[in-house]
Amino acid sequence: MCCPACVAVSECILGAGLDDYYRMRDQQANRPAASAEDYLQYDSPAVFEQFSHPDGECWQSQLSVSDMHCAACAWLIENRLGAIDGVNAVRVNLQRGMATVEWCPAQVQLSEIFASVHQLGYGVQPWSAEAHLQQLQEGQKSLLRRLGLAGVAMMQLMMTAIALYAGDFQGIDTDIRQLLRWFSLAIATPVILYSAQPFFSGAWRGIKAGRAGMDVPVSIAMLAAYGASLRATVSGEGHVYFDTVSMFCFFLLLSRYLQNAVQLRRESSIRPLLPLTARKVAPDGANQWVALSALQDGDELLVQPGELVPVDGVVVSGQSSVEDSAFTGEFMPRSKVPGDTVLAGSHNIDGSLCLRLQGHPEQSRLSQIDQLLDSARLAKPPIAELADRISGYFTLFVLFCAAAAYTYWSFNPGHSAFLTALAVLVVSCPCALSLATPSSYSAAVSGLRRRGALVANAAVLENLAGISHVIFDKTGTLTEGRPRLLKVELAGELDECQALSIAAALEAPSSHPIAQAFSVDALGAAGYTLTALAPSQLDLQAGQGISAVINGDSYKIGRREFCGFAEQGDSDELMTVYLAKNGKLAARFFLEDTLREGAAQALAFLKQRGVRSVLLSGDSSDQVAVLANALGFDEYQAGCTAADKLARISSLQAMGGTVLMVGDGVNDAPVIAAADVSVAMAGASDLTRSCADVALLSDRLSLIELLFTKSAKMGRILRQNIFWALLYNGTALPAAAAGLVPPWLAAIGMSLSSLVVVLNALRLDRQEQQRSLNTQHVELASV
Amino acid sequence: MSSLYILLPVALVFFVAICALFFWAVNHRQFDDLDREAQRILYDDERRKKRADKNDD
Repeated sequence: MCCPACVAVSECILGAGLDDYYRMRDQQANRPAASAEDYLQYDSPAVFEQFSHPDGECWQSQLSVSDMHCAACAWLIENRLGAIDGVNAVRVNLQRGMATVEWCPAQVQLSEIFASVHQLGYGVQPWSAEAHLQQLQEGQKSLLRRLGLAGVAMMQLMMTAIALYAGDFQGIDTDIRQLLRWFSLAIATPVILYSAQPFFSGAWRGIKAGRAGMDVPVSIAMLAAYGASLRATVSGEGHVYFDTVSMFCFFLLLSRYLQNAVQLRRESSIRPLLPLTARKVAPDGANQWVALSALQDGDELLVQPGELVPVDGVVVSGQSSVEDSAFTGEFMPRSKVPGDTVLAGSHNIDGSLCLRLQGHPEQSRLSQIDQLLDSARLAKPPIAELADRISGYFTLFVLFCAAAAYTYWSFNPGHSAFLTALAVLVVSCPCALSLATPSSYSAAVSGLRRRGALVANAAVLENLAGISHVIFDKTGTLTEGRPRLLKVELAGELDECQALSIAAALEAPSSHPIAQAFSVDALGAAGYTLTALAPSQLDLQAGQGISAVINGDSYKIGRREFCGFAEQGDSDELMTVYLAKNGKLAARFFLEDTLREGAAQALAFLKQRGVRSVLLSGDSSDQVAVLANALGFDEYQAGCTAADKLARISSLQAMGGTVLMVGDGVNDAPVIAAADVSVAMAGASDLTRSCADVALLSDRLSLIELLFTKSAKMGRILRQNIFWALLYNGTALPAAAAGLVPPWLAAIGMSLSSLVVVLNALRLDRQEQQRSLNTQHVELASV
Repeated sequence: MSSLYILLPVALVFFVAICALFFWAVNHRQFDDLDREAQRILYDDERRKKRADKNDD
């Protein structure tokens, strides 16, 4: 088979039971054309914008590539595309079947890139989650057909093989023996022509690329065994190995099928697949199903209980519990009322919601998260590249070993030289080696994602192991960043409600967290009744306070210095806000910022690990010291500017420390970029989040602990996998060469060894018990 | 032993028939979701239908 089109034709022919076509035909059939012209549609910016994003003058496009089996395929595509003028960078992720191409429209057209991938013999489509999933499912179906055929054939062939073996010992009519052999030939031929195709096309690609993958020795073994049996059948002399051929094929396909099944399952479980349509509510109240892509900003949609929320939107009416574990890792449903934001991919559990769409339906938080995650998985750690290179040489080594074993056993009695060489070819498993690293990384990244930590760069997991210092920001990181009013102390003629009304009016225009404590909502919730006031000449001084005039009196609210007062014996543990009326003290407000849940445990965990914890806060109050002492920080510094924090990090790094920074504010962005590993809290600004290596999706500090334990676990599993791959190949190869491994056992051994690697890696992504319980709950609710 | 001359071709026909049946099953999505089908019996069709009717109103 020279191209996917031929494969499709052959599948169609075999599927119709017309496999005689291949035995009867006397000349090559025409190739169905799949030319570059088919891809011209992707040259239009309107089309490629859907799966690409601009990067300066160039574009980054994500392509879904099917039929990739081993590291050699990924290497081939990377090198072939990299050689095109105008293509700056290509990264291929084997596990996800995805290629990210950076290209300049000025020099190259996207259709050329598509055609190049196609010419190599791979299927290629623009990347989209649905298309990719469909491609995976199609691939899985075709594998299942091949597997089924090989399985049925294997059973038939073993039956005749037993008769033939018995005949060898007890004697058998030549006629009957020939009949059984021709029968076996008839059954084994579709196996070679159809079931074994993935191995042959993979091997051919590898040879064309000058890099032999695992498919090469397997293909040589199958073709050699089939060829020798064919000759024996026609000439009536020698041995037939049809059963061995079908068994190889069956076990190898089985392992490939199971690996794909694992990938498919993960692929469909990690992201809630968004529906393609939504119920749009027309102005007259009727609703109709509309394609998601046809929706526009501001459209209203109805989401019934049990449905997935299709878009990011604001609740207009209705009330329901919504589970958004895809974002927060939190499995308890949360109640949503009008005005709340609901994200695409959340589960609506028990009530109907009417949503107003915000932004474009295809630019939801979920798809942004997916993009980040994809780029994280694509980044190849150096150790994976090393493993890929080694596995390439390893294949050549295996071919050499097989030849050596054949030569040795040809001259020495004891074992069949042919069967021994077959066993050597099949038993070796370079793929266990090249699978070890990417599968572990990928499983760890998706495991963390499920629990609410978004890792933007897989190499981070490696760096986490060596962290010596953890730097925390205070407000918004250790504390919730939402101060509450604790008490009011009056000093002038104003009463409590008047003072608070004035404070609320002054703080209204500010978005500072302290101002939020004086918002009408917050005070109303605390039971205060306020009168609305209209301040004039509002003057807002960042970090200091606000001044304004109300009813002819001038007021100032803010820091003590700002209001111009001397030391008043402030409480250490509470923030104090001053209110001055015409320059005289009118009231003092004491605020408290609540500590985040899990802060104490996180600090205790770090201490136990021997990691030094440092608190660097922009807050200059004494609270920093109080907090640092209460939580047991090793060092703290109050009143830091961003420059101070940067300097502190570089001085730690200069002393050989590796720094993890946990922060949330806008001013933390440069600090976060400077740290070796950085974590952004859920409430952090977009800038900070995009700089950070890890973005938390919920504000639980226990996630910090999880990051450390996960990365340690990943290191352990990675070492186990590499050790296992080396151990397996190191023992199986000599054993097979010594003639101790029969070919059927070799096929099982090799299949098992790569399965072990993948399954072991999957332990990193094990779902919590709670998850399955919750899904059940959702399913019940949807019935 | 001469019965083998009939039985083996018959086996061949069975082989082709089984493969054709299996291909048909795969192509008709019989193996797409093995978990779901087992649970289908647990869901009450009547209630689901009623509810769907109600939603249409």
